[in-house]
This record gives sequence, C-alpha cells and structure tokens, in this order.
Amino acid sequence: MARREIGEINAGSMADIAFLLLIFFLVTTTMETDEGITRILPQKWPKDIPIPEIDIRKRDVFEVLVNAEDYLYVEEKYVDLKDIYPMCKEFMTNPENKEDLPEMILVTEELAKEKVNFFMEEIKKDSINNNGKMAALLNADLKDWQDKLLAVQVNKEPFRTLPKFAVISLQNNTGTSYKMYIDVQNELQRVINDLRDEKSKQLFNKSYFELDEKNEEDKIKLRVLRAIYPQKIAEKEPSNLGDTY
Amino acid sequence: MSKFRKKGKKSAPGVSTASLPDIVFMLLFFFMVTTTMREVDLKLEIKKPEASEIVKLENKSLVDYIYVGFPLSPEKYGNNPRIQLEDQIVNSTTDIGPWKKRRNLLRNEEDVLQVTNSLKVDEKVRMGIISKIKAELREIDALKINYSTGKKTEE
Repeated sequence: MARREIGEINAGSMADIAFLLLIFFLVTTTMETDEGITRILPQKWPKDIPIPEIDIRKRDVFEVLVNAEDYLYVEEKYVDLKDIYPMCKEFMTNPENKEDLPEMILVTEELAKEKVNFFMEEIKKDSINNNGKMAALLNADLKDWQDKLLAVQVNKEPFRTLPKFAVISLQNNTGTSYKMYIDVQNELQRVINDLRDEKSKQLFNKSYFELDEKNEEDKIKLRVLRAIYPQKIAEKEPSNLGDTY
Repeated sequence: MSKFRKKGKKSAPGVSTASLPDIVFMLLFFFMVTTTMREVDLKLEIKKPEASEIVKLENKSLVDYIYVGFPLSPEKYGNNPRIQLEDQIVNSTTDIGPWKKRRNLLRNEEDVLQVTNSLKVDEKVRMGIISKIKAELREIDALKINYSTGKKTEE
C-alpha cells in the first residue's frame, strides 16, 4: 500500500490564533491589586463573665473623634488631618515624660520574666477555678509579655513602652465618610510604622517594610518591633448624632 | 558610464513573519500568568479611597470580599449604598453571617481563622453601614479585616 505523504501543516494561522487569545486575555484582565489597611477586630467578650471596671486614666487615651462633617477633634482640639501625625507620635513615645501623656513603663528582663510567670499562674488558676473561661484573654496577656521578654533580650537593654491600657481611641460618627475614616486610620498607622521602622533600622540595620512575615528570622524581628511599639487602636461604637446615612 | 551602475531598482526583501507567532505567544503567556479574572460581576460603583500604609493580601482563597457601594442601576436597587456578596446584592448586614458560614464550610477548620475579610468600599459611603458590617463580623468571630484601598502615589 502506498503511504500517502503528509504535507507540511501550514502554520501561518498560528499567529492569528495566538492573537485572538491574546486579545481575549487583554480584555478580561484586570490588574486588580488587593491591598489595604489591615485591622483585627476585638474578640467578643465571654458571655457569662462580667466586664471588669477598669479605671482608664485620661492621660492614657489618645482620643480621636471624627464627626459627620468629617471634622477632626483630637485630644480636645479641632485639628487638621496633618496634625494627627506629630500628636500621635508624641503620645506613643512621650519623650519628655509629660504629665498629660501616658506614663511609659520601663521593660526590664526581670520585669518581663516576672510577668510571664504571673500570667502562667493565672491561666492555671483560671482553668481550675473558672473552667478556663478567661483563657483567651489571659493568653493574650501572656503572649504580650513573652514578646516583651523577647524584645528586651534582643534590644539588650531595657526599653520604654506604653502601659497596658494606653490606647488610641478612635470614634467616628455614622455620618463620617469612609474616605475620612481611611485617611485617619492611615495617618495613625503611619506613626506606628515609622516608629517601628526607626527601631528596626537601629536594631537590625533593615527597614521595617522589608521584613517578611513568611521568613522565620524576620518573623522574630517583627515580634520584637511590635512588642516595643504596640499597635493599639481601639474603636468605639460610632455616635449617630447628625446622622446623614 | 560608471562602473558601479545600479542594476535597476532593488526591492526590499519582505520582512519575515516567522517569528511573529513567537512574539505573540510570549505576550500571550505574560497576560495569561498575570491575569486575574474578575471574580464577581460588580453591580455597584466602587471608587476605593487611597492610603499609603498598606499591606498586600496574599492568599486569595483565604479572602472573602464584601463590597459596599452605590448601585449601578438605581432604578432597581435605589440610591443608597448597598452590600454585595459574591454576585448578589443583599438586603441587610444580617445576611453576612449565614454567607460567611456557608463559605467556611468549604474550608479546612484551621484555615477558617486565617480568613481575611476584605472590605471594598466606595469612599463616599458613610460609616454607619460599615460599623454594622464590622459588628456583624465580630459576632461570628471573623476578626481579620482589610480595608481595601488604592496606593497613594505622592509623598
């Protein structure tokens, strides 16, 4: 039987096909970047445990209020957005030990060790007497001090940090625009990031922004920086005076 | 009569198009790799605000998107900001809980806590609705949230 010879396949249309596909992907592509400001919401308070009365001193709170017209009222003054940065930075560090800013605590290795032991005991007690109802909250405290202990060891000398209840309190109005809300959040985050960055360069000769969460070594560095400059932004329920939504 | 006489007009040789498919394929692969298909059909107009202190969201399968914006067809959905989950515009924030539970059923148990809730919100939306969404998320222990923003270019 004579074998029929197969002629060469014409590849001229290959380009057309590829073009067609190319155009399809060009059209459907949306180079959408998924980035933004990340926040962790506070945990629900355990139901059957009464909320303890904590006497929070006024000096420990950096109060930021935003009203329905997007006006900023920070630490009892009307301010512009750009004023938040220096004010918040002063609050976070209190360099001159002012009376109306948080009383910084000096974290030493001894203090950190003592606190770690204290909270380990508390967790034990809680699991015996209280069925471990407070476990989540106590564990958070324990982790906090474990991180501080690590930080003081890495830092090699005691460091000043905000007291436990010091907090940046952000309250907006239901009528506040989302843009303003993000602007304020961004500004507060910028303070914290810059402080951490400064420390990171001093301790590790590396920018905070280059540290990678997925790298084990960097992860420890991040833990240290976060322990020294904690990100404590609390949000109050919004007021709804002058609600326009 | 010169010795170097032009032998008539020489026509330029045709450009070979043999490498054209290669070039096109290269482009094609580039777009195929970088492309992310729009995961939902947006029924809302969303112009995201801009911020500078942002982090990238990595693992897309561990992100739930909640869209809030103004309806593209106001005759159908009205002029107020609405919430869209996947392909549907929902009526109230209380729909978020059941939707999250359904999504989490498809995930491994250890992944559930890692899920980030990305809020894609138009910058003109008022905070009232956002606060309600946050309260709802907190209620179901979905605590990781990300306010989706564009990148600020100045500074």
